[in-house]
Order: sequence, then C-alpha cells, then structure tokens
Amino acid sequence: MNNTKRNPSAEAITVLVICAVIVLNLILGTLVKSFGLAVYAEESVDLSVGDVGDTLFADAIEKGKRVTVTFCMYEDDVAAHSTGKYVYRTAKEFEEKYPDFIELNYVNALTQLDASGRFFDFEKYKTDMRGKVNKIYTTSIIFECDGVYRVITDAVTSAGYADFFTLDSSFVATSYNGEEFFASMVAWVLNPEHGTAYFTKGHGETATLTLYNLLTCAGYYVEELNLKLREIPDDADLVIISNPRSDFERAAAGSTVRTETEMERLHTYAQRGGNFFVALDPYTKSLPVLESFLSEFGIGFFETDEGERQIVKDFSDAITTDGFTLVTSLAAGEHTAPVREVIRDGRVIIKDAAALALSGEAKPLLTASSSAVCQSGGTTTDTAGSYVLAAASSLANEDAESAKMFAISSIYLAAADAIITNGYSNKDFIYSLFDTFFGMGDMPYGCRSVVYDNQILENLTMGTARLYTAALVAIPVLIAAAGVFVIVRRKNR
Amino acid sequence: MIAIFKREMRAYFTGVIGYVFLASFFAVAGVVFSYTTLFSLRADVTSYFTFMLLFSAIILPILTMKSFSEERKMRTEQLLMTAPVSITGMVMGKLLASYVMYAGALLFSSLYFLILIPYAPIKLAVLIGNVVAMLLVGLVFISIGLFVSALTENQLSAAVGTMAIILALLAIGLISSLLPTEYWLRFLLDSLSVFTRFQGFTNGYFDVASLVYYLSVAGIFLFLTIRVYDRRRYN
Repeated sequence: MNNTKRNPSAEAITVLVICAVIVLNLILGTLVKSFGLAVYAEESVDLSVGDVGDTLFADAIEKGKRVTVTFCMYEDDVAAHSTGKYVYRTAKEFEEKYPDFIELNYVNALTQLDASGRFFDFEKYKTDMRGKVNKIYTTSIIFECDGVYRVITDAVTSAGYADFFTLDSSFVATSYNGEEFFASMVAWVLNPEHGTAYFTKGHGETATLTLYNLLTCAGYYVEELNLKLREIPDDADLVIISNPRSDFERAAAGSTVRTETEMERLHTYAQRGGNFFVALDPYTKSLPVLESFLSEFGIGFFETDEGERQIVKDFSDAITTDGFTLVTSLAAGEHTAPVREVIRDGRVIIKDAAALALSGEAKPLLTASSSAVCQSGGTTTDTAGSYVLAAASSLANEDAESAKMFAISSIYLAAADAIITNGYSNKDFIYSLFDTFFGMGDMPYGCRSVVYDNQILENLTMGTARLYTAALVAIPVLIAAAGVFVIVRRKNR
Repeated sequence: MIAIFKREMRAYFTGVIGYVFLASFFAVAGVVFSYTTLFSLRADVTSYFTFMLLFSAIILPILTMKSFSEERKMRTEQLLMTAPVSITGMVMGKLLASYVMYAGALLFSSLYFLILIPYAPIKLAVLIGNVVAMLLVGLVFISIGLFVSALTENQLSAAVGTMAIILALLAIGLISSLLPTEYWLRFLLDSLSVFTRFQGFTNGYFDVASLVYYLSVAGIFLFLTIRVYDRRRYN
C-alpha cells in the first residue's frame, strides 16, 4: 500500500525559508557595506600623505583644474586586491586632501562598465601621448587632466601596481612608495610636455628599476638606446650611462668608416647642450674611451701612480663595519646651495665608491668625511680624506647651451635599499639633481617610503626546504600505511 | 546524534574512505605548502589556502558521497529512519562526522606554518582569517555533499553532483567580472559567490555578513537534506 503523503505547506515553507535566507543575506551585505560592520584583524599600515601635493599641485589647483584617476577594476575589488589595496588607500587620502582637484573613478577593464553600468571608452588610452601602444589590464590606472593622460600598467610582476613599489633584483616588493608615485603621476598629467631620458645599452649597463621609477616620477619618458645602431634622438633630455662593463666605440685612427661611432654620437649630443647622468662601478676595469669623454668635462678617477683606482673607506662615517658604505656630505660652495635647500641636513649613503679627481669646470657634489682613506688592492694608499665621490660639470658650446654632466663613482646611489631608507636622502638628492641641475622643475620631495612586508623566508636553504618537504610527504605515507594495516587486520580476523 | 556520529567515525577509520581522504588531503597539503612557501621562499599564507580551497571542492564531495547514498544502496536507510533518533539528529550526526574529519585535517595542516617561524614573521591575523574561512567553506561544501548524497544511491553521481554545485558557487563571482552586468546583478552575484566572500577573510577582514552567508548556505542545504528524508519517511 502506498501511503504517499504530500505536504504542500511543507514545500511552501521550504521555499519561503530559502527566500528569507537569501533576502537576509542581501540586507546584511548592504548594511555591512554601508556601516562597515566588519573588523580588520591585520595591523593597519600608516599610509597618510604629507604635503608633497601642496607644491606640485598649487598652480593647477589655483587654475581650477581637475585630475581624474581611473582604476580599471571596481572599487571593492581594488580595496581587496593584495597590492592594489595600498594604492587605493593612497588615492583615497589624496582625494580627501584635495577633494575639488582629484576625482577617483572605477571601471572594469574587461566589461568597460563603471559601477553604475555606464560604458567607459578605453580606445583613446590604447596608445600613449606619443602614439606608443599602452597595455591596459584590470590592474592599470589612468591619470588624466584636460586631455593629457598617462596609463600606468605593471609590466614587471603578476601582482599588479609594481610602479608604486620599490622592487629588489628578484622583482620582489621591498617598500611601498605610493605617495610619491601617485603625486608624480598627477603632476605628470598637469604638464603636456615631457622629455625623454635614454639609458645607453650594449656595454652591459644595468638600467635599475629604481632609477627608472625615479626618472618617471621626475617627469621623463624613459627609453633604452643602443648608440651602435642609432644616434641620440632630438627629444633626448638626458642620457644615462649606468654601470657600463665594456667600453664605448671610437673611430680608429685613420679609419674611413662613414658611420658615426658611439663617441661621435655622444659628442654630437653634448654639442647641442645635452645632459648626462653617469654612474660607474669602480671595480669595473678601465674604460679608456668613456673616461676620455668624462675628462672633457674635467672628471676622472683619483688614481695611484700605477694607474689603479682608489676605493674610499671610512671607519667613522660609515654604516657598515667594513667601512665601504659611506655617509657622504654635500660639498661646500655656492653650487651646492640649491641642493642643500632641498635636502637640508640630509645625508646620502653610497657604497663601494672610488675617489674622483676634478679639473676645469667640474665641481664636487658629494664628499667623504675628513677621516676617510683610500685603498687600492686592500692597501691604504692615501689618508688625506674628504674625497670627491660625485661631481657635476658643464661643457660650454658656441652655438648652444652648455652640456651638463653628473658623475658618481658608485652604482649604489639609486640602489633599492638606499632609496627606501627614510633616514637617508638618496632619493631627494637625485630629485634635486633633476630639478636644480638638469632643470626639470618641481619634484616629489619628502615622500615617505613604507616598508613592505614581503615575508621573505630569510636563511632558508633549498636543502632544508627539501628536508621539510620530505617530512610533510611522510605524513600521508604513514596514514596510508596505517590504513592498509587496519584494513588487512580486519580482513584477516 | 552522538551514536550516529560515533558510527560514522568508526566507519571512516575501519573502511578505506577515511584513510584515502586523510592521505590525499595531507599529500596535497604538503606539496602545496612546499610549493607556495618553502620553495618560493615566501611566508605566503593566502596562496596556500586558495589552493586548498580549490582542492577541498574536489576532495570533500568524495568524503561525503557515501554518507546517504551508501545507506540507500545497502537498504539500511530504513533502519536509520526507524531508529530512535530524529532525522535532524541523523543528518547532524553525519555532518558532524564529516566535519570533524575535515576540520581535523585542516587544523593539523595549518600547523605547517610553524615551520616558517624561524625564517619570517607569520601574519597571525591573516592565518587565522584563512583558517576560519576554510572551516566555514568546508561546512558549506559538506552540507552540499550530504544533500546531494541524500538524493541518489549512486556514490559517483553524488560526488559529481556535489562538485558541480560547489564549482557553480565558486564561479558565480567570476561572472560579474567577465560579462557586462548591471550593478544590482553584480552585487547579487558577489553576494552569492563563495569565493568572493572567502577573499575578505584571507585579507584578515572579518565581516558579519560573510559569516552569516556561510552559515545560512550550510543551513539551507542541511534543511533540504532533512526535508528529503522527511518526505521519504512518509512514503
């Protein structure tokens, strides 16, 4: 006998319960969004912004301009993104500080819709202001003001927003520099004209990410240039020679080759008033052609009688026990006054630097302390102290502005760990060069770097990692063995 | 309920399925932990638990597939329904047994992060957030597994059906990102998405709405399981 008993009211109750639960969740979700009924258990990092915008944005604010900053994902997605959440908080700080000047916008780059369903046309931003292709991802940000725009897309990491961080040589974020980068990009779109900085390549140069970022924040487009293949373009505002390992080319005596050599191209650029930023590693073997070019500006190495470079060591004004990481001082003189105004009593640290010898128009910028000594091959060769470590010079031209050169005998000035330390002024020193020496104008001075906890496992070797892995893999093996033992025993009972 | 719980736990450890579940869980947990932390040289909690979330979507249906479908197949279902235990008690007993297996394995595997303490500070809030999120998500997945298992006597169908529902709940949040949607639809989809809710906890963000969401989804499926057996009892 089939005692089927259907209970329609029970089914209705089931449907009602499910609907009620869904409605409850929607209401609660709305309340949480509106009233913030949540707790952040993670320690909150201080991302407050300083006064950098007061200088950079003053003119634009007075003229009533407005900068739109468009995130290419929805607001709650950015706020929850592993790296984007920092940029989001910085953007909110700037929006709060300059409410009539900065406007934040959130658009999904995949659907091209903003939060209220309005279509956002990304077509215009597919190329930059020079016509070069822009890649736009959900982690991109678009800054725009009066038709001038800049698209920031992370081309280095998979996490996104890398430009707002300082990365080490393994592309791992070590500090967050959102205030500086955000302010710089806002300043970028306030000015339609931007020069280009070219890193030379073809001699083993290292175009460090930190220097690349500093140049971008200073208002330059940044490109690479192989002088063997082409001359320095007309839009070059600055040529950077960073840690070359091999020498530049010069025409051999009596050569009839018609193509310009690298040296000739550098000379042509200098003759039209070009600017140079040169960083040399004192441990690289001698580069006679390049050094002869530097000597035209009155800059050379302070060498022993045997022609060996002299490495500066200081036991009192150094921050490492080996004495090679030096705390330098600004050289005395009128020529350092503009830089001094920016970094005030700030100190610049440099590691593994050689002493320079100056002549002609070259003037010292950074010097070691009076207690510093020079060493060559591990032997002390000079104890005079106050060695010149960085210099600036100019070369007069008849029909054009003077060419300018900044040279430093160390590759550490713009290193990642030097840039992120708030206690030293490496970053502001470099910005002051771009501002006062190369004439780029206002810079994002005084911005704080926030140490980013990248949770690197220090001192863990691969051998130890393999041992741990073996121990972890042993657990399921033991469980499987226990299981086999138990089941076989039961079967044999 | 306790009697059902004890019976289920005994079945897990006298049969194959418990050992298969635990061995698979710890094998994958060990490999994923090594890959995301030891060999990456990062104390990255979130990547590990994100992988384990996806693995749970596969392993938990296997744990729950025989909960009720085995009873139907072996015709022992009648014994259960006439036993001096309420249907709710029966369902909760089975839920508790599966949940204890899962939670025990999860909590033990979370101890792996102790290995990293000598090498980097661990963000405790993020670790706890991830563990809490995984416990809540596990509750939801097990509830779904019990419900689907109650519908069929074929264990394989139960496992596949459970995986399909779980993957659908995980995928809902992607729809709003990939397709043009109105704001209200996007809000609705994100509210229903298991993965979107999970991400909040993984950032150390403890939110009442997500807690209620997980408990209510689990509650709905348990309620439906009880309803299935309620109807069956009177057939």
